Amino acid sequence: MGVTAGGDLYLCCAGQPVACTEEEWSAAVRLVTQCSVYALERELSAGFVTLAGGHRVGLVGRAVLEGGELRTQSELSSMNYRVAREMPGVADRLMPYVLSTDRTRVLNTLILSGPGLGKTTLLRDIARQLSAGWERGRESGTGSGTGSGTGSGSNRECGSECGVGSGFRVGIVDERSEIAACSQGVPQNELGPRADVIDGCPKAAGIMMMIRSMSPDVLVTDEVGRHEDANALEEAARCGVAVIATAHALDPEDAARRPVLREVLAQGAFDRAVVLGRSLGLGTCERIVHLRSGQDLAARPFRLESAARIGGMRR
Amino acid sequence: MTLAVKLAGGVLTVGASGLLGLMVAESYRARERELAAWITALTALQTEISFGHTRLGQAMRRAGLASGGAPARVLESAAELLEAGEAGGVGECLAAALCARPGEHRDEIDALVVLGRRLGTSDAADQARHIGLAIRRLEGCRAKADDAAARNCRVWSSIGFLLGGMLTLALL
Repeated sequence: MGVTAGGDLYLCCAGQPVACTEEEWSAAVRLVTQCSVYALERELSAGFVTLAGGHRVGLVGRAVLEGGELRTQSELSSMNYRVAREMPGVADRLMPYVLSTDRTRVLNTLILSGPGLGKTTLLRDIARQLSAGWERGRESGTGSGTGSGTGSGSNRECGSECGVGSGFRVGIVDERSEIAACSQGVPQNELGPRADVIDGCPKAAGIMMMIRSMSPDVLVTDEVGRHEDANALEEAARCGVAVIATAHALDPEDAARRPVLREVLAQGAFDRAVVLGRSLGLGTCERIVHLRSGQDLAARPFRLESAARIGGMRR
Repeated sequence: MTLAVKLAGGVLTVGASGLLGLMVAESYRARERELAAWITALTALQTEISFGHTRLGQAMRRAGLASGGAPARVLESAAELLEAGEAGGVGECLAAALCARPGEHRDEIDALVVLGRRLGTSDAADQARHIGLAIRRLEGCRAKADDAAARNCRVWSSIGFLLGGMLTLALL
């Protein structure tokens, strides 16, 4: 949905522009912001609002700067709707590579791909399966999957030694509200019973907070890319917390050319790299790399498929 | 017998006219209370928006709970309209909720509709300023209502009985 230079409003529906009225535009803004722009300053400065159901609406308009930094936006002129669909079970074929051979330990795994190839969808399902217990996660993934939520006291008796059957304590640092898609504090995506979510918090601070406060077995975070993220991941490794993360890179070699990722890889912070691509279509796992030896663990690319397709982001 | 009927009629006349006077006096006090309730509601709304960053529908409900009385009903109704998403913007929802209650005074309606046009459209600091303006406007109305109540309450409390007494004497 956008506004042209002439002030005409249009709705781009399946690639076709459709004119819409000023009232429709105002109604769309009202519905997306719930008439509460003041409550969405952080979201507007990030450029998107997460709606109930995990759907995301990208918003751009006039930037409001404060001290040279983007504080919020006003006079919104374009919206981009991304309809969320979970894909429970999409990580089924990857889980054996994410867990140690005896299934009692989670290996530090970095998911790499270009934009829009399903990193976050895969990360979310890995988090769900680890939280629910791998086999149990697979069962619930193909079922209805209800009641996402954060770990409660009754769920916390499971330690690192638990593993496949009973699941791991998963700490999700969801800086951009993409993994859990929290709306008003409630995760909109199924993340299993042992997942604790810190929403909208910068990764480095969130990782440290999660380690100190929730003692997770596994930390899950999206799009590592800054120096402070690398330091926080190093700290997590020192604390014995496994990390599953994503990053923008085409493969480990491309990642090694990027300063921050090179630093992270040089520290040996990750055991596995999962490379996503589209050689067999969207959601193809191109490679699974053992980072210490550089050996490819998967013989050939394979499709990551979900038995019960609910997910992924679609424009 | 005739005297007894006359006396009973006289007592009824004095009582009825005194009651009317008390009702008029009470209406002045009610206006004071209602304006005070609106000021409380808007102050609570300001807090919910500035510090709680609560979504507007929920903020209006909570503000209504804090104040009670007529504002609670109006704000609850406006929140319902707002969340249904069919009545237009906040200004329209508030106007519709106020119009559904014919007892509301023009001053409150004007202040709230003007505020409603700005509610939820800007950042928290700006919202606080707009709500502050509406509160000041209502405080002005309340000061006038206080003066009117101070002048008229005592007068109307006794004038009803006096008029009733005079009427009774005239009829006797």
